[in-house]
Amino acid sequence: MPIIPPDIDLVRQQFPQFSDLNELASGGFKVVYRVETAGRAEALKLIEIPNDPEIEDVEAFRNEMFGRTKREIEALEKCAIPELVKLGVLRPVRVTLGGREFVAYSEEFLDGPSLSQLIRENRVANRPPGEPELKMLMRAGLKTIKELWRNGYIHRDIKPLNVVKLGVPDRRFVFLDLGIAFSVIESSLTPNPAQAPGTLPYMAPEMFTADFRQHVDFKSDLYSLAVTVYMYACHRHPILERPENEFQTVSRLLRQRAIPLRSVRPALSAPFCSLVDQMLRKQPALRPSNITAMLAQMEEQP
Amino acid sequence: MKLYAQHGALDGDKSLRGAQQNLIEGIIYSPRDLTLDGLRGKLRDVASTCPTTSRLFDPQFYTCFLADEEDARLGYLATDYTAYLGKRRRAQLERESQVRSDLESALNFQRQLAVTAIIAPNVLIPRSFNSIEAVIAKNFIRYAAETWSGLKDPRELYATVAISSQALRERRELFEFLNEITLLEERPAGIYLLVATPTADARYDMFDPYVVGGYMLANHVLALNGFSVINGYSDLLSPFLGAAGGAVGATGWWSNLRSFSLERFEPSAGMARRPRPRYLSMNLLNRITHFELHALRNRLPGVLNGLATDAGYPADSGSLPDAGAEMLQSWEALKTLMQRLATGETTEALAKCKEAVERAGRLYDNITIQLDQKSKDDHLEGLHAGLTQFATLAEIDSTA
Repeated sequence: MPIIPPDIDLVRQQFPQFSDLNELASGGFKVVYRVETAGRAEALKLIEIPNDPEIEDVEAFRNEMFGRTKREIEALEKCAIPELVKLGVLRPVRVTLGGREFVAYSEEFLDGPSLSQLIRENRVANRPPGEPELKMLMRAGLKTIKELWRNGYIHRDIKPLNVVKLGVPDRRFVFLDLGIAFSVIESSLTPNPAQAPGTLPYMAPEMFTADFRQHVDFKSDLYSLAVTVYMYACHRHPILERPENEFQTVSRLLRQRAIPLRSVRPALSAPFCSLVDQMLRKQPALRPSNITAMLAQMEEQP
Repeated sequence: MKLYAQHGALDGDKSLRGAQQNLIEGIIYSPRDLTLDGLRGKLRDVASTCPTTSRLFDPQFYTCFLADEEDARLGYLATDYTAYLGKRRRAQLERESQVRSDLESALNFQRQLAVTAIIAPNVLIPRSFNSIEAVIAKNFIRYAAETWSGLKDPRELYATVAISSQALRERRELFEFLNEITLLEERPAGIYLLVATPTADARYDMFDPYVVGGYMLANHVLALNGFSVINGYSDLLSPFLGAAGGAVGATGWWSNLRSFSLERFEPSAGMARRPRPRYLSMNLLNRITHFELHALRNRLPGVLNGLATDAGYPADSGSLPDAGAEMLQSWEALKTLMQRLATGETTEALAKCKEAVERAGRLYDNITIQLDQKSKDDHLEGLHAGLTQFATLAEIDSTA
């Protein structure tokens, strides 16, 4: 069930440093507002920490929520690159609004459409993006994954909804939402070791194995990035054709091979399509690992 | 793909002649079979007469568990190469400090040699990737590049990965092992890949579909991730490994230089016999005895390669090769086969390999004489099934 946003007046009272509050989006346990502060726009995020005794093992769940927010902030502090969203003026703070508990913090406001919005629009207009645009997206994604991995993180939720396209030439695509980032250094936050949070169609096959924590690395993010690039290029998922139940979806993701990119977009160059296809391999070992070389390849191609 | 000589006992001038005739592009020297002075002399000779030929030295550190064993056949390893090789126990090598120290000794030793690239030492993973030896081997691989970069030498480093054919069959563990190598922070330029068989003449093992598929997969994954793969002792499998992405194949003049086994270094179980001269037929993807060649060359000309070194098997002498001709013929045939099969994209090369195996099958169907056990076509089924396995493992659409 989606979150019921708190009373906006309570939010205004709690955060007097922000003005012009406008609700942008809400879902799950999170609500996001566009706000103004010191003459610039930011995104204020409120994450509800549930305290409902009806929730099974509510204490563990609350710890996980706190832990995730803390990790997201730490990761964004460590990975300060233009391709990742930047933190705003408000550092994480626990607040009570109308008797409900929240963690609040702010990020820069990214003034542009999400990739999922663009995919919808492009599909309707039958206007697929060209190769230079796709390469820009690929480059931004690779730089993000590289920086996260350098600091011991895996994003785990790279998908069109978590990428924003900006009008700035040197910062065209920005990746956001490290809410379920995985740390290979710190202890796990999800109580059930076999449970991998994520968005099903974008999850790498190895994330569905019970012992994924033992083996997972940045190649899972490469897979999700390839799905994202593919969807932007073709307006369709490389494997899934229509909505199905969870079991069927997972089964397809584990067993069915991706449709080669070039067979859907023949005008794209063979090396670029080959790279995307290789990143979509089921086995992590079959995905390329040298991000520096991949970035160089992106620069070299016409 | 390039072909290197896998050096061994009684080299004489075989490898030098191979290099001079451009049949091989490199030599991997075996310290077991050469004094240190002899090695230096050979490196000097090749460097001066064939400066473009790659010169490598396999430190054969994988013999370290045998180093104190009575009757172990370590040759000059036990006398001339103690600067880096001595008896080791498994428990010793479980210590990271020992691994680092052994790496430093072996790499420093090679720095003094006129080799063109360096091969780092390692132990053999004998049964499973889920073993103490595998942990030790991973540490050798992990610290090799770091140790080498500390020595400030511009030559390229190859980390040794020595795996038993048995371990290669464990697919999930193989994938995980390969993935770990691809994630190395400090990477060597390439991998010196050895697949060990239980005996030095384990033909059935090398042509087992699981081994062929896994061996090709290892080449594919490593090449895909930017490693140059030198396949030691790969002999007839070389073109197939090249099709999967391997950069180099290697073979030598004795059967124990055509597949890798620690048996060559272990105490001998019996007397070695001098092998019968053989002819490598590209179309059969196999070697046949000179008797068989003589019986078939007019009846079934397809067994002949039509290459210059065929002249070394004169028909008027019963197709018995001249001294030294066998190795040159073998290298030329293998090199040509590699040029034909190991080219283009993996899918394309794979199709060529399959076609070559099927063509060999058709040629064998026309042979009516009784063949020697090793000359028979029983390797083809394993090769064919191995190619299919590889395509499945590598997620390649081999029907495209």
